[in-house]
Amino acid sequence: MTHTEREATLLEICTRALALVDTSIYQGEAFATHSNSVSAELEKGKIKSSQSGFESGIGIRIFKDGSMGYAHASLERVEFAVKQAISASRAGRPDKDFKSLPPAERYPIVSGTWDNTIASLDVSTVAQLAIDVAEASRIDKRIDIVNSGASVGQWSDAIANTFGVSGTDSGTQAALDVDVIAHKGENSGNGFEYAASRRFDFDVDSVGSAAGEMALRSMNPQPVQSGKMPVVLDPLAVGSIIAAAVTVSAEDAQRDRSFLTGKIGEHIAVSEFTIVDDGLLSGGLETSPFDAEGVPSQRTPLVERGVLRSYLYDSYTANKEGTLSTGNASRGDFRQPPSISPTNLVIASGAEANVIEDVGHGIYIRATGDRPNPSTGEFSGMVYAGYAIEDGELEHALKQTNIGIDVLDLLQQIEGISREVKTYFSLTTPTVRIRDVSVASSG
Amino acid sequence: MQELSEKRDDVEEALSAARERGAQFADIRLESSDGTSISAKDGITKINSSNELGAGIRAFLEGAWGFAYTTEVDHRGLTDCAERAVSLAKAVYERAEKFSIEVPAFEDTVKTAVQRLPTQVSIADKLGYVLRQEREAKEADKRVSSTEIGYTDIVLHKIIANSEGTYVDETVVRSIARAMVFAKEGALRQSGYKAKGDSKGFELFLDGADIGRTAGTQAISLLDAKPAPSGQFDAVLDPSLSGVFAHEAFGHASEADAIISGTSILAGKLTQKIGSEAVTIVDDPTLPSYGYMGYDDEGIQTRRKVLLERGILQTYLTDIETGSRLGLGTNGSARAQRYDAPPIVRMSNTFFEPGDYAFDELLEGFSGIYFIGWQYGYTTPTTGMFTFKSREAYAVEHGELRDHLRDAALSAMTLEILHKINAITRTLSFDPGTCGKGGQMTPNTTGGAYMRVSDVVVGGI
Repeated sequence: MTHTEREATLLEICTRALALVDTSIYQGEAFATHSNSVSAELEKGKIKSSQSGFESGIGIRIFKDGSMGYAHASLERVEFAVKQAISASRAGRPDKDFKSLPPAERYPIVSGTWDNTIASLDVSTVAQLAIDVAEASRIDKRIDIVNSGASVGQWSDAIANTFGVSGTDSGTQAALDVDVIAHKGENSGNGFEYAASRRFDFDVDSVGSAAGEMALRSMNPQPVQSGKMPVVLDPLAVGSIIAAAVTVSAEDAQRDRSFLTGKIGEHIAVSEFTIVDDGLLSGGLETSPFDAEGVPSQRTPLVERGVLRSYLYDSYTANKEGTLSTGNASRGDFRQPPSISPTNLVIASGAEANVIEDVGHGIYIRATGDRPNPSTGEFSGMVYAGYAIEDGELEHALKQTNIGIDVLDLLQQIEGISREVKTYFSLTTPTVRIRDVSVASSG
Repeated sequence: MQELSEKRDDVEEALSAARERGAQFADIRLESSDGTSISAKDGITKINSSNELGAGIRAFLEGAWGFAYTTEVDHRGLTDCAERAVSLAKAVYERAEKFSIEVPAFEDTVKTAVQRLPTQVSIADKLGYVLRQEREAKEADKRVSSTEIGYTDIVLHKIIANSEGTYVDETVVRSIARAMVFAKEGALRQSGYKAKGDSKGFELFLDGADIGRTAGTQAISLLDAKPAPSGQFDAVLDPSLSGVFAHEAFGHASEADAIISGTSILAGKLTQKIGSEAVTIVDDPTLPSYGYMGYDDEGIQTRRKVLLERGILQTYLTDIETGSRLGLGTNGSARAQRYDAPPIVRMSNTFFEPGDYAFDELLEGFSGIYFIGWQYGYTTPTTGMFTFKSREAYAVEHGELRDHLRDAALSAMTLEILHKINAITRTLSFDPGTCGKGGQMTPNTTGGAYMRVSDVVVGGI
């Protein structure tokens, strides 16, 4: 079955499900999906396992007077899922803020989301990719242990609702990860790199060698002198700290749970800072013609030249405020009802060729596992991987180092943005320098 | 609920098909589940009814595993899936590290004993509980600005069988509720959290104890808390934080797959003294807590494992593969999120054994930071550097609680801090949670008592 035939079958199943819904009482939505994937995992340079999976299912969302019931099932049990969702919607409480599921609209055409090469890959090729990236990371004899993985997948989706929404989409994705440990005597360092794409277009050598270089650079960690200093955020850290802070769901804003509540139109960042949620980005991991409730995808500036422009809306939060959905309903899989989340995020590049050269004494943060507190906007976190900067050069790796800053201060203290951008999963961003952050280090 | 018990012939034929196609070993997990999730956010309810039926099949060949899954669980679907798993193993086994596996076989039927099976409790009763927690949270104080109550139950029926003769039929029941409450005063916003979960049915929620008010009270109390200072301090951890410590900073490093892949700080340290006399850490899936399982997802009967005893590393958490490769045997630590994911080495109910201090004795003369409640935490596995963030904290001077603090983070190196634990109280308590590893989420419990530690890095803002 080709993916277009598959889409037609899935849409037909959705239509059949909605025919079971009494539209004089209920509003209904059906989402059907079919996916398959192949992956391989390498341990210490040798294959450990390979996996393949086919998954299909349907998720039914029913509203009665705004009370939402949801149920999912395999494609053979559509009627059962509809009954379960109806009875769940009848048990809940009415919600006067719920107006309607979205109406039918024309969908934009998106590009770069399907690759025939991925769709035809077998497990042996995928396993070889994991082996190749592991080999590519061995750039030095201190590189000791390499674990890696590769996966490819394709899916087709269909969505329909009782207001005439009807859409189908298919996509492909491939991903690669490598984790490296370098050793010399008692010293060790860890490096990692990931890549993900809608196409089978990896530069395996650069992915592997980036992980190898990071492992070497991470050996011999030392503390830095604590105090206030410039901090440079690697694209990965920009994602955890800045992008996480400024992508606020309208649900959190409406419930007054975000530090950015009520700040639309305000200058929250320096005027060089712009971030856009772009559901139409060519080849973006989260690109699709429509979102999880069938609203057309769009490009939404969130912060434009320092000014907060928008939160992320689904149809419910948009209706509640009398505005339009930004197409940010999303779902992990058919087991869950949609919830609000970003699509592809793009932070505008800056002018600097080298954001660290003017730093006399500071730190470079490659990664942190921490996130800003979404209700206060305060960030305090551990540097998971990072390096000291001395006289414009990256020096030793950091040991046991924490940073703390209020995100609203951080956004006003952005003083350098790189010209070069990097894409990590669904975020495309430059490297960013912050003027003055408190850094505590010990050990 | 789908009837799995009649599928024994289909299961055994799929395993035979895998053997005939060339697998040295094959196993199958056939799962059927019924669950309900309810959320109430500021009065708006969402009810999600969940039903799953599927099977995951693994095939082993000379050191390589193939894994495939299916939702078609009739005779043909299972056999096709078994054959796919074998083809996957065959496609890659020549590039694998060669080893053999030892598989103990079990045959048993076990069921979680519950008083109120969730599938026999009406949605109205479950919703009633959720709305009551919401009301309690709102009534905690006028400054409560937003509430979010979640409830989830599941009745999970599994058949785990393998080509060595294992045939385990287990039904597990789990229930959990969580309250997240936000408070606002002026421009200040804070949140509070409380969860309650166990391998129990709806009776768990009938004891009158509430989570909504507890979370609400915490959110309110944090409104006048100050940011935590940063620097080096002595610390007291409450049971929820010492539990997370046992799980995050130590437990993950004791997982044998990390030992084999060279990513654990505990590699090569069996029988060595790596912590103080005060420290004993246990993983016990047999406790009837949220992380309970009678058999693991490879069909191995579970047991209590003392990982660290009075500071000496006793064993790792192992599954069939890692137990075989390390010569330790499996101790029943394999878990999978669902039928569509392969089992990997995981924790269950992980905790510090209590000590013999009273709480007052712990604080006597103590100056430093007293951490309460857990927000999140993570570890750098290869170095053992970890951090976790508490919900609240107090600055303590000479045994007296002073400033109330918010968002205090604690960081340390596992192999250093285990030596610095110098006192643990007598009172053990547990918290339910969800642990993520390799993209798979599992229900877990973490536990401990109050614990005093010297010289950790505290990060604030």
